[in-house]
Amino acid sequence: MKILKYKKVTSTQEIAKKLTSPQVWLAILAESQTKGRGRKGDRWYSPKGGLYLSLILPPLEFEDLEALLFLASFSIAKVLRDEFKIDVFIKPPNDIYLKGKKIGGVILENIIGRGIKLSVLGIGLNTNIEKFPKRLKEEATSIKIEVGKKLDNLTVAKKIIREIKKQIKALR
Amino acid sequence: MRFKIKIRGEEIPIEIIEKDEGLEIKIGEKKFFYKNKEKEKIEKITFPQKEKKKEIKAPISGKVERILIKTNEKIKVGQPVLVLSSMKMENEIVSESEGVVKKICVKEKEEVDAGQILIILK
Repeated sequence: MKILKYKKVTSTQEIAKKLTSPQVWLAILAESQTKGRGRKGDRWYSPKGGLYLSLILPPLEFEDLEALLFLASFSIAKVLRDEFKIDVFIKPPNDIYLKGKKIGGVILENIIGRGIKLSVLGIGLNTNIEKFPKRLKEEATSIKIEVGKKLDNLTVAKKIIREIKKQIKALR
Repeated sequence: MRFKIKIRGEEIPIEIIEKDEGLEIKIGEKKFFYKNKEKEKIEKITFPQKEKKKEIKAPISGKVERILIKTNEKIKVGQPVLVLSSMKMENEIVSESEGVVKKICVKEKEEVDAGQILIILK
């Protein structure tokens, strides 16, 4: 498992998409992002403490894409429940909630020519963020705030990657 | 290989048989034989192809989020031309051929179907 670790990036998705020779399953993990991406160009609040991960996926078919977002959310929820005893709720296909507030999200960005040339899965997970700005307080939270547990982001990332690999293999 | 061609309303059967020493072609009642050296010459004959239209089509249905090019802009192979969101995903559509943008057939925020022409190049 190859993980490129960064302290601060614009966006792990941007780094992954700009790689000249993207290796399948290569992961980019950052401690913070200045332009974290959410869906439809929204920003993902990405201060230090959170988990920001992008993963280069193996070549996909168009019909796999929709299932994939859900599989990724499912993998995150499964890891949190099985490994850390944290029960989360998935709002299909790509949002993860804890105690009624959002703690995570998954995005999928593809580069498409005649076929799918590159698929990059992006994961944002509010693990150890201690506080949120006013505008987000009502809708977002973190595992640290809700459960009081501090998670090691690298360990969580490795477990999530392993689970996603397993799920994608099962899909084929 | 057997097939028929129609000339002035008359169907003529054609049969092509590949043999070790060459190619036998039967056209109606007539037989032609091309030895291997001559066969090579035959294989080089190709039909003129229609010039392919350079169109960039939507690979999947979705909403045009951003158009990244302008009319009359020169674009290269692999250049991103448009961002299409679909099924909660963001898809960057790249050009597979180089050319100049002749027409942009869609607008931002427009919903498009799979196969719909997005951009025409010249």
